[in-house]
Amino acid sequence: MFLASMILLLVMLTLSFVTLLAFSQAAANGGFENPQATAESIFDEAEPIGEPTDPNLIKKYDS
Amino acid sequence: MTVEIQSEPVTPDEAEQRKQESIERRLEIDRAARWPVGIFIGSSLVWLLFGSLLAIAASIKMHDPEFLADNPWLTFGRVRPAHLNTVAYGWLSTAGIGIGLWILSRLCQVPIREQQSLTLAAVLWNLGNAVGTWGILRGDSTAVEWLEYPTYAAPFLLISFTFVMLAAFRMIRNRPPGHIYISQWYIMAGFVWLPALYFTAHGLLVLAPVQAPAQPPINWWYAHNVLGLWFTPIGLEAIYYLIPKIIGKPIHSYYLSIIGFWSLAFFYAWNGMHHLIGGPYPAWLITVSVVASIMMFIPVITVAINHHMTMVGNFRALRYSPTLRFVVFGAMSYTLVSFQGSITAIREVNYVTHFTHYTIAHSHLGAYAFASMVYFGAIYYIMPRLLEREWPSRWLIRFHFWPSAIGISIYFFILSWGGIVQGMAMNLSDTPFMEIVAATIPYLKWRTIGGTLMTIGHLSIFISFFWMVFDRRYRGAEPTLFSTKTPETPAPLPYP
Amino acid sequence: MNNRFRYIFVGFLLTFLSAWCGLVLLPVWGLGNFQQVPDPTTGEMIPPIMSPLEERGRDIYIANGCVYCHSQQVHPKRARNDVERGWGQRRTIAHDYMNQGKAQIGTMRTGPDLANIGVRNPSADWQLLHLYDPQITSRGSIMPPFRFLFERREVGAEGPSPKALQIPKQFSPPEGYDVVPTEEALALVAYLQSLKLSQYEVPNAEAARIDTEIE
Repeated sequence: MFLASMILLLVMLTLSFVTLLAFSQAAANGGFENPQATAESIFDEAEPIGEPTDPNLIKKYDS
Repeated sequence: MTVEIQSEPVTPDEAEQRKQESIERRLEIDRAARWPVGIFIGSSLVWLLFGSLLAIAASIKMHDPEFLADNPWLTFGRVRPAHLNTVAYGWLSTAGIGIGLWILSRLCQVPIREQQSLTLAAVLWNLGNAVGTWGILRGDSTAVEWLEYPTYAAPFLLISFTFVMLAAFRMIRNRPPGHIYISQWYIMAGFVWLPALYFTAHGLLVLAPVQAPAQPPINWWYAHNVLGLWFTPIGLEAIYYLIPKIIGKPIHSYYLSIIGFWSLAFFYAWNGMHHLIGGPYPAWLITVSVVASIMMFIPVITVAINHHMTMVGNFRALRYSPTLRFVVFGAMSYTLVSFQGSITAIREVNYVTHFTHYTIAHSHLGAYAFASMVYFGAIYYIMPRLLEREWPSRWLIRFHFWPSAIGISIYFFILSWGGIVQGMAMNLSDTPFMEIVAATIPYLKWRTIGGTLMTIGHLSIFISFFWMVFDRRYRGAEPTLFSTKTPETPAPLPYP
Repeated sequence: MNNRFRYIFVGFLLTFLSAWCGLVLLPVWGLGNFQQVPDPTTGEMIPPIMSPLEERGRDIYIANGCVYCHSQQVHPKRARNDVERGWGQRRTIAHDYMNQGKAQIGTMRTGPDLANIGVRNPSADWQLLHLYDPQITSRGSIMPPFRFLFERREVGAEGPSPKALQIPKQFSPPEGYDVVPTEEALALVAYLQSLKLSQYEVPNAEAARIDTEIE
């Protein structure tokens, strides 16, 4: 059990290191820039911000 | 293409043209999804109804042991796991795959091209469930909680899921560069985690079982994570997409949603051992899960803030939108069930509630009041867009929401109370066991009533769905909303 | 899988892998290779190995989902009064389960704990009657009857079967019939009788090795 725990500790340290690496790489690649733009990315001209989609469905398919 | 919202001003003609283009694109995406997503969602509703019938049978058996007692296929110890597996894999997972694929296809702006392989996947998935349920009822259950399907059902499920994953990865790969919305994270995470969980647990517990003492930790690692790393991501993903879309307002804070995602991914995965508190295990193993369970407050509070702050100022939309009503009910239940879960993981609380009906009530709060209600909402949103038809009757939707909401409330509150009574008597006093059994019977009868109400709701969505599919009259009809009054133009939003 | 998604994907795997190491790999290493030890007083190797009949009984226990109402774990005194209820003389530890093959420790106590049912109620006749119809032995029980594990036979010229159950009048089958347990019922009862999980003195070395407190 002791040996197992030590091996595991090593594995955990490696995993943490890889996590930090992935995190810094993601940050360097712009993963954390302007997050609110991502929140808005699900809207577009047909379903813009400020327009509820449920009552307006019919307009979409008619046009 | 991801369209930038705050782009430079365009002429009205250009604006109109862009609008037409995005409508065309959306139609293309929804039409490509029609068959594969529709077959997953349709078959999930069949399983929902079947699972509900098994649930009622099991519930009645709890207070009337002579009910259907003479057929070995219908003994309590087989009907109960059959219920759990049909609703977990037949209903929740099947619907989850459908909902996940549709939202992923929309967010990636990539039409589904795997018509054949996904149809085959749906057939295999349903076959796997059918074979597994048949296996449980005929006496091949593994009695490993949440993994009762015998080994011969597993290949169907794994092959089917491989096709689903391939389709999902192709959509992610082919999406235009740019934003990755939080729902896409949750869907892809769920699609990666479920097979990894199932493969590990089925292998180590059923196929080549490890020595018996090591089995329960793996069992509960799996059982808790199938909720936390599969049903929850799919549910949250749908909430993160549907609430903003329905009310037309972006999510309150995208940063919070990222924190919520990673804290959920990390802490949830470590939660399972709180099911073994007091059990024959080293203290550290259980403590680590108790700690992780308490840490779940972080993702839950961030998600709760985010959903609630998005809804603020838009609660009137609950009056007319069926989807929103289901989804908000689910989102609120998510907060409730997670808080309850964290508190129940504290040892002193768990000493009372463990081994009682309280746990059963808790799991239904999670799997039904949260996951199922959100999935129902998503289905009400997806199907009209998929079929370009409307739901045939707002009364049927009402007749789904209220029985389900009241049913689960009765189920949860009364059974939790019964569980506490049972736990107090069993663990903290020397009440004779038979008296404890007798004391729980009224609560168990109320559970049957709650479950029956929920089943009535399921019957409504079942009728709605197949009526909609087979009756062409509803093509291009007015949207089916609760309120006949067209909602007034939305007020200016607090969001800039 | 272009650009940023790659890092997110690595994150999925890492978070998953961390818990996989802690809650799957470590239990398999630490709790998955117990050895039998000699009992300090009798010298017998404990826990004993199950006989084929008991194993068959365990499989019937599994097939009929007994685990959904009956746990098989005695908890320490500071957690619950399992010991006071007579469900075992001490808490169960991981080592006790090493020869069970498929652990049935359970998470529900709609019915009483069965970890030491073989000690508490060793009578095969009682177990058979209880399985045939729990109302015979435990009035008011909500356990389902397992009559499908028994055969109702017409009594022939040679008289009632020696294996037939002695059922009280109000539960007995009509005149001229008797109730005989099937092989499955007998195997299940043999398994129940074998359940004496914490009846042994704690193998101290084993308890210490996995860091379990006994009290």
